[in-house]
Amino acid sequence: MKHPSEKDLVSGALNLEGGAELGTHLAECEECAMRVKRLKAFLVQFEAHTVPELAREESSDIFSVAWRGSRQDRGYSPVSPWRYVLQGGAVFLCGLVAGYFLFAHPVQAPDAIGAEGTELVESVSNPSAALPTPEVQSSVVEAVQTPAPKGSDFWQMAGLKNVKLTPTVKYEEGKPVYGAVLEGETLGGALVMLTF
Amino acid sequence: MPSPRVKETREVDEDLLVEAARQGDRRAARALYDLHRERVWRVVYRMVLDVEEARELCQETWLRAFSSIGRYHGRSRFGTWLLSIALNAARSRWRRRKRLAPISLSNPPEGVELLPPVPASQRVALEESRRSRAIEEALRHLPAKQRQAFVLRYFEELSITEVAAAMGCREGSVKSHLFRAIQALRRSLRSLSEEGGGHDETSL
Repeated sequence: MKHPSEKDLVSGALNLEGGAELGTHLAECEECAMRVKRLKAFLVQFEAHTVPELAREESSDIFSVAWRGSRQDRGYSPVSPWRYVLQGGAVFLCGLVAGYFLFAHPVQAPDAIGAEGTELVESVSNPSAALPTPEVQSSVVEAVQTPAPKGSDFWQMAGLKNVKLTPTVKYEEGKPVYGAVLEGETLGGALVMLTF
Repeated sequence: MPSPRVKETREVDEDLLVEAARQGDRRAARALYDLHRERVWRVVYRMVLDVEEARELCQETWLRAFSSIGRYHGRSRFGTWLLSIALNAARSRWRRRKRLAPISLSNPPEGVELLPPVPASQRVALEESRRSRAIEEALRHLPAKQRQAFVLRYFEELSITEVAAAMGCREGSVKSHLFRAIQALRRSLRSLSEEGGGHDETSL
């Protein structure tokens, strides 16, 4: 009778696959059956090995940290497409506002600047020239007091007046989310407040 | 033993949970975590045999799992895939850190104090703890692959196919690792038993 190898006996003791032939042999061979029995007895002692328990709070922490970390790794946000749309919209609006203030406000006439500059040079070379003549003074005051235009064509075209746009920043999970609050009145006088 | 239908339902549910977690559903991810956390913890602990290190490794495993859940295509069961991540994380850690030399109880190095002898009345109560520590010591001496194969097959009762999938090797290799692991464990426990003055239970 050919005895199975030690490796086969270990497979038998561990109830591994392909044991039909081995099972037949073990039923007939007392010596091999005894070896498998001893091997199983040896393995049983490993049941004494205990693993310390992980505290529930620690376990929750592990999940929270892993989940949060994985979201950051993937740059994931459940509203990510909308976030980018909103951020793009906010940037566009800021551009519009900046453009309005840069190009819609009256710029001081180059002639007036030239006159002031000439006057300054003259005041250095000739102190008596620094004394302002009533005509010069009145013209400067007039230029400064030129009232800024109220509203703009843009907002009027949009049907709004007295518009105030306030940029906002809020933080979601440590990341800045840019937005804006638009307050104003319709041409009919109704108050409007929009949040982006 | 769950009936096939229950098992099938659980697998279907698990697939749904994986899909939902992939879409960013935190509750689904939590449910997956609750389903597998104990097994992952047990395996990871038996890989490193140190609570602190096991905690870090566990953290790393779940972080890697959730980060790469989009790459899980269901070729193996989710639990097996998860264990393969744990084993890889353990392997990377082993590579990064040299294993600490085991301390011999008979010749402790300078500066290491052994506990005083335990009174006879407490010996019985401490016997289980001693056995557990002896097993741990024997496991600690196993090479990584053998330890992985033994832990997954013997403690977690995974099939050879599942162990092979988790370890990323062939079934024949798993059987060889198991055979060598058991031989090494027998030698280790025999020598520990001799050091402790106990009788030898390990010879066949």
